[in-house]
Amino acid sequence: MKKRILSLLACGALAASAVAGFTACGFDGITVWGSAAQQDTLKEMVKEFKKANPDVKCDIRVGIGEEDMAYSNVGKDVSAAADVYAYSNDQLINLLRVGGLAKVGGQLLETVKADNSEDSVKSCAIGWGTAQEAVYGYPFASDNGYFMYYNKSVLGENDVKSLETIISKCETAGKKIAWALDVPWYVAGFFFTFGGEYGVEHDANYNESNLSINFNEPEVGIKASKAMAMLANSSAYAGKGTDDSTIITGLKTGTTAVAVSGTWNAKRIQDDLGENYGVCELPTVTIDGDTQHLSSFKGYKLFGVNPTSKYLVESHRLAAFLSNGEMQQLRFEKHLIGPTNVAASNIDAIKNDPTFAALNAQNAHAKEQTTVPSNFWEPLKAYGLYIIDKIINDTTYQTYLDNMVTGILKK
Amino acid sequence: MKTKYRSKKGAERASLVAIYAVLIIISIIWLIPFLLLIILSFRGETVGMSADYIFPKQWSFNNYVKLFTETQFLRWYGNTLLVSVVVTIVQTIIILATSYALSRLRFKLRKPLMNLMLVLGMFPGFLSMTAVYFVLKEINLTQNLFGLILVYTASSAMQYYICKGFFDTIPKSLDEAARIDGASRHTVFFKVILPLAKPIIIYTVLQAFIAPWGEYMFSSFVMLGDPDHFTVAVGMKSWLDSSQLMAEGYFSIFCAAAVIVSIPITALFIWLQRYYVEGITGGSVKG
Repeated sequence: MKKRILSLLACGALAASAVAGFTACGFDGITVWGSAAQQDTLKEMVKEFKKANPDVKCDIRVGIGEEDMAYSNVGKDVSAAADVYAYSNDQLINLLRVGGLAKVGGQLLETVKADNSEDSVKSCAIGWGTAQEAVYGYPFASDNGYFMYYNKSVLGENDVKSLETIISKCETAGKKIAWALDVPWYVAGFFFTFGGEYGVEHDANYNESNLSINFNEPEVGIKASKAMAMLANSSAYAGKGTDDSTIITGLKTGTTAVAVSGTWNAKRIQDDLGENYGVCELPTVTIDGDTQHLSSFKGYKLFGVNPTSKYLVESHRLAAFLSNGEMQQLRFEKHLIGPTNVAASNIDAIKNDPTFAALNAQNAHAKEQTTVPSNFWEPLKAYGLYIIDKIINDTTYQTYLDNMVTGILKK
Repeated sequence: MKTKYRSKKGAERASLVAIYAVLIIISIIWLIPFLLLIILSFRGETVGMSADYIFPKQWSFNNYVKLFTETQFLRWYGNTLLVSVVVTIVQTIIILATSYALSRLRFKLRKPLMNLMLVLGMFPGFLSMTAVYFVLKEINLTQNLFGLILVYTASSAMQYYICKGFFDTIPKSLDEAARIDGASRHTVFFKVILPLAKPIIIYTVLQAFIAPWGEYMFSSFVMLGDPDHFTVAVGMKSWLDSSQLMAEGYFSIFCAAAVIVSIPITALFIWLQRYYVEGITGGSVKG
């Protein structure tokens, strides 16, 4: 009898959970995805949106989706993905290929173009300036780039102007330079410094139709390799495996004096270094008598609208609201995220912020990160590792550069 | 004679020392990650994932406090616990029932059925993940804990073999005696077989609990982007994905979460451990 009661109870529990499950499903409203670190801010903004737009009656819920993983999240199943989601502009083509982005149009497009820097709008546009021009996002952040942090007790403002001085100063002081030469995103910057270019053309279905890259031209590749080797062969180089956490730890404990990273670490580093917090654009480098300012990638983050959304109009309004000047300013105050909004960028508190100033200064030398060839990253990463591990040198650069380019152009 | 005897003892002792030394070294290597995790979870200062020292500069309980006050961890924990407990109950019942049927009843297609289930069970489950996902979506069970439970329990019957092996070791004459006394199949199962099968029940319970407790792949697919329905594995991975959270020192909180996650499993193991060993070996004598 007791056993029977037990099994009845178990069945009851099952039935109950089934009922609970079925009733919980079928959310009707707008879902918006943003970075896990900004969930509270996003919720606050959604509340503001509802207050400002009382005519939008549907529910809005906030979920997690990192900007740089937008394609892998949305691409799984576009119709199940969020109605509004944040993405970084290098994901644009992939997202378009799976039909994950709705076109921005009408009055909203006018506002987006008028309020934001041209570069940021261009970053999510296809056929910019032509009759077929289409814009696929609402820019909200200009921080997808990198620059240099340094410890002011080791290096002065004039020391950080050239890579050679930084290396020699750090070698004497016994401090490390953290610069991830094994992360292709940072490696590419060295190639851009000496005129590196890449191009991707797409057919109507957004498949790659024509790839081009000049990283193996001697003027570009050899010089970039030499610049990287100069850094990597120094006793001050921090070595492989540089990531956000080694940078933060290194700067905090004082073993690292210079680190190349982006705004996402700014708050932490600022707190740790206090009055020794130094931040600036990347330095210049002189190779074979040719002095160039080191380049980098720059990119933007945008809100995209899912074309399969049931509440398409409301979703567009929400995306526009989440990326307006006021919200960008709020995002800067809370997370030090640089705005794309022209008016917000000119607010004194933002314009005079050293981190944002460094980002802006570097952006002048940076290369827009548009869609890269699909095999771009791995060969570049391998090349960076060859340099760190001293596997290649002046005599073998060209061979390895050719291999790298072949790898990138492979279909 | 005496010296020979002593030398033998000495050799024995030496080999014992060598064996234990090796075992100790292996167990230290094996334990380091776990110890590290526990130590890191008490780190008071905010540093990233790869600090170049082990012991915290400040010991603190703060990560645990933050874990339960600032994050949605408790909710994820509840979700995972609910899913795991329900799956454990359902799966145990299904496996025991299947095994009993395959061990005691004789029916046509018994052998082909067993073979079929064995072969099907050999395919890794995630091969069918996309297909299962779209089926779930059609019946509106994505982003839903019940959907997860359904998927986890759906193939339980295929894990019958160890349990069936154990049932085979229980003499059939016991069943027959009970049947002659007028017991139904039902009574035989509950009154005769189950009391004798305690070790294998424990084993089944443990297996059934552990699988959904740590499962990541499928739940990340089903719960995409919906933090209210995350399980612990999906939720904790979402911290690792965010470079900004990592910069804010979430790695220590991640470690604290990992320690909390391991508690139910550890407790269950310690509690059921004495039956566990008996359970596995008991079934494998006759397969």
